[in-house]
Amino acid sequence: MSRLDPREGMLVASARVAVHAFRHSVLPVMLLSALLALALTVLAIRPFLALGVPAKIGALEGRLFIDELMPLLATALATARWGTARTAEAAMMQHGGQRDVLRLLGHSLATRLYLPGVLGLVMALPALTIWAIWAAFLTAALAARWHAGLPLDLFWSEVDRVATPSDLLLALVKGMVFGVAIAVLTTRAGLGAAPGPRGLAAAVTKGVVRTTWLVGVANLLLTWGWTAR
Amino acid sequence: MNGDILLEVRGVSLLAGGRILADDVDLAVRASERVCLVGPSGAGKSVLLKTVIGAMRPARGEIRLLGGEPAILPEGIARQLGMAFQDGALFPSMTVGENVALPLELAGLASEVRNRVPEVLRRVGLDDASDRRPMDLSGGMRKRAGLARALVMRPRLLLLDEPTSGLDPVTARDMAEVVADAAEDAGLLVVTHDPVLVARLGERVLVLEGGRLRPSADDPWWQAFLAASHAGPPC
Repeated sequence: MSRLDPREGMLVASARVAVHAFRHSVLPVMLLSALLALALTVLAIRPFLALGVPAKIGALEGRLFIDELMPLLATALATARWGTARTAEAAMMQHGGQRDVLRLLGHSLATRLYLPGVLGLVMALPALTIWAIWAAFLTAALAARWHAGLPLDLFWSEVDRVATPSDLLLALVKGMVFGVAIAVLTTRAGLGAAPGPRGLAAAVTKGVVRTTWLVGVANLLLTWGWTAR
Repeated sequence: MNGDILLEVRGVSLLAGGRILADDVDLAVRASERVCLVGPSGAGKSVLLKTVIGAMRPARGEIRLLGGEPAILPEGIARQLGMAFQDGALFPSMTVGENVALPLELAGLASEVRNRVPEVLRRVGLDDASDRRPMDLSGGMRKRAGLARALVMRPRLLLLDEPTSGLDPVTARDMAEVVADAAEDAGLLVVTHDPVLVARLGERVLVLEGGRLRPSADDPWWQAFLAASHAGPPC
């Protein structure tokens, strides 16, 4: 768990959140991205082979991975690993009295808990998304070659043809927006937790469910808005 | 308001979980005055403390804490107010010494840490636990560390929530002495179930019971408390 140290300034605390969230999520994110890319490639390459255009798998996955799947996957992992821990930490502060201590020492929750979380995840989520995209494409390219004999350069040229810098920018923006959602909703769920283990369990569930809903809606709106430009 | 009054509660209704716990609560703590707040579990004693510091909102009534409103704590409040919570409320990422030094550091008094922290840790019997983490301490030790943090700023007003509960009788008696010493120069409001602490400190004992706050004299709950604890009335 990323534990709060009230002596830290906001920028240091934010950087610590970013490093913590990235360090503890990057390997699972890359592994899951690779597994997902492998499964999708194996599943989708057959119809393309039947149509005689196996290289089009690169076109399909190019935008799918960058615009949609990998930002969502990185967000899901960050919610599960960092968000649930933050809910527990916030609940502990609420019921253990640390929140009141902070207040009496003249420091607000906004500057000590919310803002470092938001700023930290705004940095960490885009980075996680980039690594997820990289792992997914590498795996997909190798899987297409192994499964359908598709040359690597052909796969990459198809990806390059459909995926633009704008798609990558969309992925980064999504990472930032989803990072804000995770930080705010999971912290809020913890601070509103009822006392005891049941209260904590309910708060963790509430934090994850609300984050999932908000991320789902925000993802749809961002995709619509971006493609309508 | 009288400048001598550190805490004044007037006509407050205590609210917890959407329910009124106590109504029309009046209370004042003056400089160097010791007030013990007793009452059955669940009567709202800790809620009163949380309401006083603005962590919970009253349904109605007025509170003046060190001349300001609890909802907007006055600038530099940490220099004037010390509060010890039931479970210590220590930050788990920091050692005991760092937790106790926290109010000094955040108030810009880091130069005082070297002198004051060892002294206050010695007073609460934790001088050899300065480098230990809260998770490595017993509940009683965490409580004493929380008391040390409340005392380190030498505040004008001390609010203590059951400072001796869960301690062995000898340590509880020692802590009662520490609290009594600290309260020589400060106003004190202490929530407690400890008859020894009440006997040591209670120049004024208030009972919160049945939704009302009243003086202990002739209060049936207070008489039952004394009889059950075999303690005499406060000196």
